[in-house]
Amino acid sequence: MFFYTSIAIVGNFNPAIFQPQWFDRFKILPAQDIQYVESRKPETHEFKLGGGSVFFTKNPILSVSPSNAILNFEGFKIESSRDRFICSTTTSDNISKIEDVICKTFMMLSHTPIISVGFNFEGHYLFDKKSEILLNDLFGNQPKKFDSCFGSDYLVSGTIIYRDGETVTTVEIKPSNHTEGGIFFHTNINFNLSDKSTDSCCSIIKDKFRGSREMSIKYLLDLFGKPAKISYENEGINE
Amino acid sequence: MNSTGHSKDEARTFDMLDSSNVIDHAFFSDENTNTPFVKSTYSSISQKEQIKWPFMNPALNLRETIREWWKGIVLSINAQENSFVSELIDLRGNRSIVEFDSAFITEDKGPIDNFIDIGDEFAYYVVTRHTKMAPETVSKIEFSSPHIWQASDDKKAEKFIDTYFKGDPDFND
Repeated sequence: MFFYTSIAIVGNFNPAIFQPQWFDRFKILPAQDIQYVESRKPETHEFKLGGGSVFFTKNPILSVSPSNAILNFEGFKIESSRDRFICSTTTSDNISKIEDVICKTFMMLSHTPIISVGFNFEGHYLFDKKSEILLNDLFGNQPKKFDSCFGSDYLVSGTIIYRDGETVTTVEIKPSNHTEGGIFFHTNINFNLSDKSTDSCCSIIKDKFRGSREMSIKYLLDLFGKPAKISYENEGINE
Repeated sequence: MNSTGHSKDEARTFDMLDSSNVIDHAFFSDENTNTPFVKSTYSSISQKEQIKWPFMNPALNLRETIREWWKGIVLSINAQENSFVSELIDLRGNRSIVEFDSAFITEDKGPIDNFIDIGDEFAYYVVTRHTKMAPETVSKIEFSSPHIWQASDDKKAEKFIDTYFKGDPDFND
């Protein structure tokens, strides 16, 4: 249903340790995934400069430095900076994998202070009605000032935020940049951890991730109905 | 030809790339034509300039299925029976108490408390390796730091001391 799903963790991390060998050593990932990132050739672009050439690497498959780590596995991705760790996928097949990878990683790094954990679900959808009609219906009753400022041909989009205890849910709805006449729907569910422990982080992922995904689907269906087409699903597009 | 046995052009291409991960095809093709390179799809680049990224180690060329995975914590060590008791936590948070023999962590015959301590953490996993032969299922314990000191580490340490502290008085003196 969603073309992009991610689990993002905010805390203090040491990106330099997130080498493929580290994931292999503790068998957080199987050998074929490690081999994939270690053996794939990144997309390089050659620019002639004087008598020689300069090569630029685009979308590195594997890049680990003291400040950043990027590991583009087949079907999912791990990114880490000093204050953020994100595991994302663009295919529904890998949803349980990203759950497991994060839990295993932070079970092994049990002394990592974690401030919050968030789930992101994004998709571009086409419905029977055009996005202008749907969005204007949803965010209806615009003040007449809108007409005087923007005429009659404008789009309204919006962000809905609500808080439930330590949980903050943000739903962003706007016209899609990728799909003509479509809607971009993004749900972020953020859990603040009062004890900053990895145990709490892992139990939230295990207890709430699937439910949050189902809740996000419910929001989408309740607000707009069943989409006629889900764009970019399983196409591996990663924004 | 230069000192490494390659032409100036080849050496220049290799120097220009200046990375251990970027290997000029011509550089290796002379030495080992059977090296399982990843085939390049860059047809616009001439043969000499083709970049092979990087060669794949056949030893790694296998597929695995992770059957089970636990995080373990050493609770107690039984030095007499050379075994230890640990708590295992699976990904669903289920906890179990398991006793392991010392053979699980080291082939050395020494007392087990030389290698581990109470509170040490480890990953215990069961994987099935799909090889060209029949698939094999193996389990392994992998301790996180501190590193488990093995008999081979004694030899490494002796060699290190001989190299860098030759002539210094022995620590035990």
